[in-house]
Amino acid sequence: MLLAAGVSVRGPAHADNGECNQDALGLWGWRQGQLAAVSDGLGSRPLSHLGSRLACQAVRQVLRPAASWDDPKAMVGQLYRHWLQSLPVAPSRAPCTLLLAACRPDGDTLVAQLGDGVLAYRAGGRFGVLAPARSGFSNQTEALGISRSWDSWHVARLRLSAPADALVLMTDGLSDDLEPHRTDDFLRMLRRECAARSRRRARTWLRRQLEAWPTPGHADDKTIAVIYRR
Amino acid sequence: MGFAKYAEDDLSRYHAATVIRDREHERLKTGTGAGHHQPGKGTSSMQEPAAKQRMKDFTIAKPRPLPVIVLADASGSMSENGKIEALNHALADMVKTFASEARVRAEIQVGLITFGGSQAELFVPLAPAHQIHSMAAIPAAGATPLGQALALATRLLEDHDRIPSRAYRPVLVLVSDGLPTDEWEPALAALEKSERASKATRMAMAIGDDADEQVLSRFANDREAPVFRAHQARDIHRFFRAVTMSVAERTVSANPDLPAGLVLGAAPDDEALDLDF
Repeated sequence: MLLAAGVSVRGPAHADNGECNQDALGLWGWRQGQLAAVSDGLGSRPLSHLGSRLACQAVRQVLRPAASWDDPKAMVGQLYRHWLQSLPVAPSRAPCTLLLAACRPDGDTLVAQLGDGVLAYRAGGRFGVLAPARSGFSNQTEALGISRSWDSWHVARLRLSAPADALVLMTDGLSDDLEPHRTDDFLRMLRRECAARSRRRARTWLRRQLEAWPTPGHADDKTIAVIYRR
Repeated sequence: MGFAKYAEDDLSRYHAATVIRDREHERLKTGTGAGHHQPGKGTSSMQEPAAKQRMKDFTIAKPRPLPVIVLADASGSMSENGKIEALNHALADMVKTFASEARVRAEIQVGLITFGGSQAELFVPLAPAHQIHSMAAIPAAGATPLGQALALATRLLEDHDRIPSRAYRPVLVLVSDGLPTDEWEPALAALEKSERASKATRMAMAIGDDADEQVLSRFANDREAPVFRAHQARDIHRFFRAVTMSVAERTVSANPDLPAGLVLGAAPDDEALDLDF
């Protein structure tokens, strides 16, 4: 059985300034499977919180009715166009990253990522990370509203078939503060802790973890979504 | 099942449980538990095992670094009119201010590359400001090998071990009072083309009228901070105070990667520093 839990919390910097959370989270049950999206609005632009929310909505509106994922490039293009059409402002004023995962009940999964953040998975018992580690510095990223190239996207098809399979989507406010070489252990821990709880308690547990973030001086919004087998 | 049998069964069930809540303990002790069992109320803590690991077991315990790398001209001409003394004093002041800045959301790191004589050198390796307890005075002598300093800065910025990718966008500050004496253009082009070093914010200060402002203008890439001209020793202090404030401002803002610009305050009221270049 595939389950999902996720949460998004406002970072201390935005809380101190009275600004809203610029990350967005979308998590929906979908034909007995799960659909998840996390998005990080670029802090340098005034309406990026709007872009991130509309990006998550676009994932739901485009992927939910889709009958097939056999052409991910066309699907990503449709998703991007949908986001552009739904934006009431110029895209350059509301850029955002996007990580998404769509899982069918049999474990057949489509994952895609544009920009910073980490999408890590354990599929068929094998661990992987969708996109390579960032080479530059923080907050210098590809994003909806900035990148128009298909080459900027990372897309894969997975099968969450083994009992301990899971995947996690995280914005960089969270992933940048994690030990980079322990992502596999982190995902195992997440799956174990979430699977031991009801969905509501898993969400509460995730929220408490993010609200008690221990990295000194952390500032950014933090968003996480976990899809796991139980 | 009679009532007495039911009560006995109820008590034995509590005894067998791993987790017994205080209220239930009390009832068992006082013998009032019989017939007062509330189904479902005591089950959640038994279903949910205590978490053995938390996210904090996987997090980095250090703040994100914000590197500030100063490229300081240490050529012979800097020894004239108290320029090098003013620079040494301003740098020490900047490091001290960074170290005492308590509001920051980042670990401000400082590195110093000097270029004088026949080569550039990493005079102060990149380190957290609060760990730099004293800075040796920069000696000024010889030529102005700016190209070597730019190449050294590029290597440092490209080093993922020294500057991890979670670091905020670094700041490069170039200070010079003369003409470069080596091939600086290929080194600047290499910096501008490099994957990481090209993303650093670059600021520059020209000291005195002999400084090659064209070189410094090509180096500077921060539109909010055009090349600053220092004509007096106190101007060097003004510039570094502005750099200090700009960096400190970035570290407390919601977006530490945005350039904060340079806001130049009034010249310090210190007659001893009032030397014309």
